Amino acid sequence: MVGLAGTVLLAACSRHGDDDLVAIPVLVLAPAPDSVVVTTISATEFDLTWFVSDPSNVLFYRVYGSDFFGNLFFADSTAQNSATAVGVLVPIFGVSSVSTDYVESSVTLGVATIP
Amino acid sequence: MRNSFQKTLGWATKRRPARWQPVVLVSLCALLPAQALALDGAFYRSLAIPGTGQAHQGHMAKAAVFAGAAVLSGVGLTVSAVQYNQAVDRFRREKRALAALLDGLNSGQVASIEEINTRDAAMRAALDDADTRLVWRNAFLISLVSVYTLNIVDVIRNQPHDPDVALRYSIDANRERVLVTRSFRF
Repeated sequence: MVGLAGTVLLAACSRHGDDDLVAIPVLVLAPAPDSVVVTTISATEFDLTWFVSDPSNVLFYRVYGSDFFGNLFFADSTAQNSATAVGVLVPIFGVSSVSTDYVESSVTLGVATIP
Repeated sequence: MRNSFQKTLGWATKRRPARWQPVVLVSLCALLPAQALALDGAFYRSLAIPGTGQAHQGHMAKAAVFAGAAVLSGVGLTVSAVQYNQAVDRFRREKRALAALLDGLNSGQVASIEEINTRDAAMRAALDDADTRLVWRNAFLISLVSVYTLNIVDVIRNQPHDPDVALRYSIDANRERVLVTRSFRF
């Protein structure tokens, strides 16, 4: 009897039936940067240049460095999209754009080549 | 020497019957066969553990079938219920994570579109998983209740009939009153 009562109680308690999904609102997205190029290499910093197809929705950019294992780490954020100096000496850089809704685009990688 | 007398256990009223009176009447009617089986004990054995009533009646094959089906259904119900609860917990965890991301956007925290899409996909996948596991849980639940009910019905059908016992209760019902009578013999 206890088992039967337990199973009936179990059936009566649907735990997720009343849960609604979290709706994602309409977000302003920014295009990912393109053509990330290291223009200048000095002993202490790199100068980066990149382009975006439509910068009107871009609030700022985020610059990442990459270690030798390919793991990205945040290095700097900037509102400029060219000639940005980064004081991190790594061979691979990544740049992403952040929209006015604070949504970050995918990261575009650029490789520093020694001239 | 065998005498008998009757004792009225019901109620009599000229008012309109309340809504719950038919329910009580049906329940009392259901008690009649139960009362008839009380002396044998097989009914209560099957009521406690499926299959034991059949074993008490000497039907060992049926007892094994009912007991095995009840065990399988019970184990399946337990496992599926645990898995369902885990899926629900995972769904709620993913839902909270996505909500936190979206709240962070409103307060100026940066979140990548990949992470938002990944969380959203994980939340939907967890919900689908919970739905699937709920179907399995309910299937095992229906199976267990069916086995339990069939077990009771079977033990009642195979109960040796004793008319002296079966007539201990009687019910007389009309639009104005329901009279339940129990006979005592001594």
